[in-house]
Amino acid sequence: MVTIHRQLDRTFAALADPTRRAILARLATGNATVGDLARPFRVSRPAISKHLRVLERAGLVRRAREGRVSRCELDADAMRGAAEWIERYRVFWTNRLGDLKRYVEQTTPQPPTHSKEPRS
Amino acid sequence: MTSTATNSLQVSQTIRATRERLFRAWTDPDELMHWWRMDEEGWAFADASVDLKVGGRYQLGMTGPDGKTHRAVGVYREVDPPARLAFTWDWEDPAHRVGETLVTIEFNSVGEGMTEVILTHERFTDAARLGGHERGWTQLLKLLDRLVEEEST
Repeated sequence: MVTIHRQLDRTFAALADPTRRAILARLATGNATVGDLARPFRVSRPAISKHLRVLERAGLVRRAREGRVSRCELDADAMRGAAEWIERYRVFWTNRLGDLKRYVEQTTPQPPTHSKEPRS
Repeated sequence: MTSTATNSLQVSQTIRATRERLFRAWTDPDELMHWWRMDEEGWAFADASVDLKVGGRYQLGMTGPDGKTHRAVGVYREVDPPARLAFTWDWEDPAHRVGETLVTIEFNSVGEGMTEVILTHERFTDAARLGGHERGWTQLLKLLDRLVEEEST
């Protein structure tokens, strides 16, 4: 499909520039304003803004306005990936504790005096 | 910035057993082999080694559906029987490294012969970032796959 071609073209074009890769690396450590991003590079703010537009169109970066400042962040996909990763571990540990409960309760003799707990 | 809420997780389970018994179940290889089976989706217990002291290492091996053994490895940070156990958690295989995350297990007495087990897994910062990156690249490669497929038809 044409849309996939365009999306890929944009992504690769966006990644092909060293300044843009450096911007992505900076944003991977936390959100930043355009001013923050411009500081380490020997380029003007408008030039940084232009790079950001390319990154935005490629779906790699998002900009959110906070009053007069616009804050840049990596697109939510990476963050969603992280949340899913932690969710996988939540399932993993829930299953482990379930296995532990089954095993231990099957092999622990019940005290005869306290048998009010319903057996599951 | 990622909030701390997404950098940790906590699960708990109330179990009809003493704290001593449960602490042993977590730290004795002969006990671990009975319940650390991961039998969902073809996973099985492979081996366990435990050097139960602060600074001591453990290994927990699991055989996956692919027949390969994957080992969780780490170092005990707190050994306080029967109340508390903490250890770092990572994978032996460099390809699956997640950075040094920390697992803490608390054993709380909640009545005659009943124990609440609370497990916290935290310090996911690096791991989560890895996971996110991995996913980003996976998506890009999938896209490339689709593109190549189209071009060859």
